Amino acid sequence: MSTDPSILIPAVVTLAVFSILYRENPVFRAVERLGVGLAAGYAFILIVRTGLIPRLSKALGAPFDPSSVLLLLPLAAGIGLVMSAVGHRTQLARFAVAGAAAIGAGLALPLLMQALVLSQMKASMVPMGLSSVVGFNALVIAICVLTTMAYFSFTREPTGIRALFAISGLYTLMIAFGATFASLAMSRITLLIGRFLFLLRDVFHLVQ
Amino acid sequence: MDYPAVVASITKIDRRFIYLLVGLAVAIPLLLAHQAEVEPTEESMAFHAGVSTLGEGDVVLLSTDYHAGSASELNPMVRAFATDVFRRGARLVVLSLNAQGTGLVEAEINKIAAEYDRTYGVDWVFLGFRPSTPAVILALSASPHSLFPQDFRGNELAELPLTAHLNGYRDFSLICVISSGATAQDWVIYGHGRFQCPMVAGLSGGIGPAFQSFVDTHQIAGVLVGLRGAAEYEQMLELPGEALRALFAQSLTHMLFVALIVIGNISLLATRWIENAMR
Repeated sequence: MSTDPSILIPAVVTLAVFSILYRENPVFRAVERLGVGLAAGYAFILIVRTGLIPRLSKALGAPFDPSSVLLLLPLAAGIGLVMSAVGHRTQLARFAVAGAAAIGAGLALPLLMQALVLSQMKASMVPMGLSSVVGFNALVIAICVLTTMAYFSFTREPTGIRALFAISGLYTLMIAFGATFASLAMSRITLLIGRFLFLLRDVFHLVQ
Repeated sequence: MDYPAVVASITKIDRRFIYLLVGLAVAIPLLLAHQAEVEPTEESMAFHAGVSTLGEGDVVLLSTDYHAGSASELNPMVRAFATDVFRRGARLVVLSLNAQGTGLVEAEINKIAAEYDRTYGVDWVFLGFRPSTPAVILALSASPHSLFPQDFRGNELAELPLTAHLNGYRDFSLICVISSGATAQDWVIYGHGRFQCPMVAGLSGGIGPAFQSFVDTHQIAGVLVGLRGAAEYEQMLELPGEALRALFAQSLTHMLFVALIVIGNISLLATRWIENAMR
């Protein structure tokens, strides 16, 4: 068994997290909070040390560089947002939020349309049919899109053929969610395997 | 035999017994150290083909945007990708758009660089972390120097041979995004969408299916999804590692899940059938 503290501490924390599988307990709650706190603290220090301080020292330090003054604007906006978060609403926070939203929307909208809508539509526009795999896929995609849209059409109560379309849309959604959920479950098992491998190999040296 | 009681007891199995079964399904294959073999999917082969275009001296941007919770499935991808790049004589500029990624990636790549005798600053550089993904992706188009005046180790980027003359995406032959969240989509929208950067991606299993449409539209050249994707890549590189080793455990756990779902459903239906019959 390893005696290295850098191995033993994560091993103890891992076993403490696994203890929730037996039942809720204070040890699990303690390491849960430790994990969240460490992640937040690490990110905070990283941003301050590698982002904020080097840029502030450039803006405020000697020799004076006029172009660096622009860096004070995001700093002021950031202070405004923090003040707002701690209960002191300022005009500065409004400007910061409005600026971020406007710039974000201006940049994002045309690119989102291009990447998520137009490119997808273009790729979907292939001849449909049963004679080739591409054509068959295109047919299936078209049917799935139409039936899913029918499911979300609430203008009139679906009856007859429209009800059949809507139910088919529901099944399309269920298949899509099922595939995503299965993939997520696969992902979570990988995490469990990673922890077991750590315990068996690095802590207890049972495998190479 | 009291069949109704037996069937009813199956639906009331203690969940801890199921956890124990899952634990055994994971631990036994790992102890047996059985190495799985996989048939690479088209997406994984396309990923490999994308990396195969790299030549001696090409510069690759690797964005490692994941947290500790996804390290088990994404760290093997990073290791295999860095090995592939160094084997081809290409150079690597690494950054992270997730704060935790910095702690997970640098040591891994440092180890591989040492193995292939690659020098920090000449063959690879770690830029570190910056918040706000779209802003970082857009800012990198001009020059990494404005966004990262210094690398993660505190060296001036302008003084490192690899980064001194980098001027945005035109200097990168390939962008590889290893991600467990929405940043991969941001790379598609802002990186590929605006600058047409050639891109490959390694994704955690949870977000993999959502990116299939980007592969179909060639917005992403190739994609590795989850542990299986990492295992396929390791096999294509003939570099057996953690992913190939873990795949057998994952397959066995999946089989257990399917068996439990089938048993659970059969016992539920049987309980209903018995209840109806007894009325």
